[in-house]
Amino acid sequence: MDITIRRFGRPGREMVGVHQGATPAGAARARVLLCRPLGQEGVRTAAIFRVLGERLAREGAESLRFDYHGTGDSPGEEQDQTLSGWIGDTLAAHEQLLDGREDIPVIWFGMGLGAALALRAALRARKPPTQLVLWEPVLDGPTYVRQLMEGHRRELERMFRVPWTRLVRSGKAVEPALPGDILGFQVGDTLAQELQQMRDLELAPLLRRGLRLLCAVSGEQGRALAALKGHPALRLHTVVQQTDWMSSQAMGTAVVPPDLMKAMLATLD
Amino acid sequence: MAEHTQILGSDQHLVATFTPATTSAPEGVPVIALLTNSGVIPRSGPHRMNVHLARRLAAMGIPSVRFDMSGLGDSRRTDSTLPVVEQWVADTRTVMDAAQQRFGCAKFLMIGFCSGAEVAHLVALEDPRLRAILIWDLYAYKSLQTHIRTTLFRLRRAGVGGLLRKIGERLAGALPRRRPREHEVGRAVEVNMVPPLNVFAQRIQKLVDGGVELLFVYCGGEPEWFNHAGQFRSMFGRYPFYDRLGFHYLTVSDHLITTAAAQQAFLAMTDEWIGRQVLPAVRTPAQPR
Repeated sequence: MDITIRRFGRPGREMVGVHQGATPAGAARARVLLCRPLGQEGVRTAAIFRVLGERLAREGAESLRFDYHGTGDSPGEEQDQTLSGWIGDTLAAHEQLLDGREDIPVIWFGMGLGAALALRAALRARKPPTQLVLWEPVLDGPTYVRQLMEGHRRELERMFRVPWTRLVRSGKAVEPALPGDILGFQVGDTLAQELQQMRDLELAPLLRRGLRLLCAVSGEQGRALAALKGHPALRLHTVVQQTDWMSSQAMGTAVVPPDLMKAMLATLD
Repeated sequence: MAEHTQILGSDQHLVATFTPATTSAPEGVPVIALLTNSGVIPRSGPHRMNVHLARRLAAMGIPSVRFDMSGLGDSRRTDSTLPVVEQWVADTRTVMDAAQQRFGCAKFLMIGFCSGAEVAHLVALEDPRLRAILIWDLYAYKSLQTHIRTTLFRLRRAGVGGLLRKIGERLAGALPRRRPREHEVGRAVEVNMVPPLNVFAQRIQKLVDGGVELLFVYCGGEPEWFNHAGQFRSMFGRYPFYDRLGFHYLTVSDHLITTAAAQQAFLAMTDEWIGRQVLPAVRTPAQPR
């Protein structure tokens, strides 16, 4: 399986990515940009991104998975990051994947906050992708922040095996706050503000740009997107298995949700 | 800092990021640090700890390489038929070869989190270039006091109601079980089969005799695994190597070093160990193993 390391981004905002060529080598039938979620969700879903890249390669598609600046293996400090910076990173990764070739379909796949970033980046892309797959996207910032806080408490309760109130009393944990550290990652002032101001996922402008969209959501999230139901370029998918991607423990859940792989392979047809 | 990520290994299956030192000592590179996966966590480490470590080490004049072992992070599985842990040992030695070539130093220290610690001590048994290991939450052996503390912990967690329920269950045999709450669900420690104490002690003896610096660190988040500082003495106090081991019980931290306070405590402890123990040790010639 042919992989190469790509280091890209403007000076001072570099990123590291892994490009996976299609097998057998030759003209790929599609290029796929894989946009990770952030923080603990990024760690927990790392295997999905490798397995997805390998599977897509066997289906004749090349892919690029990357760490946004200040995350994962890329240079930069977490606390200095912003949503707008990461949207720019997504566009830089897109250009890296295109590498001046615009002859075959380009698909973006994003999970969690990575999906929300991909959606916003697609609105700004010089040449947008032909398809966008948003898997369990962050629909609005305040809800996401609340989920992060709950996930933080839940994770520490599980790790120490002590109820939250007792954990706080013991001094081993403090109430999470933004800006601050959530689930082991630092969130700076600007990012904290941006998350609080992030409002509903807007799919309509993308549909107007001619993109095809697959949005995989939980039942509850689906209600927020009900108004767009029936649009010929939008497919809503209800995720089969709800997984707590903020937890470090798999708790018996699949490493790669089967419906995720199936949905991604279907985008190649 | 010019980090460099590359693909290496005879099967071109390993992904590794090299971080050069940002300061240099007159005698050259003293030691290279190896940083790798903890369980299925990618090479950036638990909560990106390996990235933070790489930068701090660079400032101390120590280059590092953080890498994904076969089948983890960005590294793909190899076609080799070796058992997985043996393959990871081989992967680590491959990365050591590449790092030695890049940084011109044949002495290594390894910071091994959990399963990474298991690999680290096995590498050191095979490869005399590995001169120091920080062993995070590896095997623990329970003493009587550990069992007593575990029982007390369980009683406290269950509360009076839970205790009565458990007694009732014991008596009645099959009362319907309520679903456990989040903090009651145990975490599987991500190491392979725990060897018998005497087997592990023999390995430690061999490493200590060979001049390998060992720092054992246990977190405060394993109340049924390692639950008091005295447990370390009860595990190894009877062995002649005991006084030559480093030990730290980092009670503020959970297994994945999640909170900022835990991260700061871990980094400070590591800095101190490297400065006090590792750097002086690597400046002395290696002893035959």
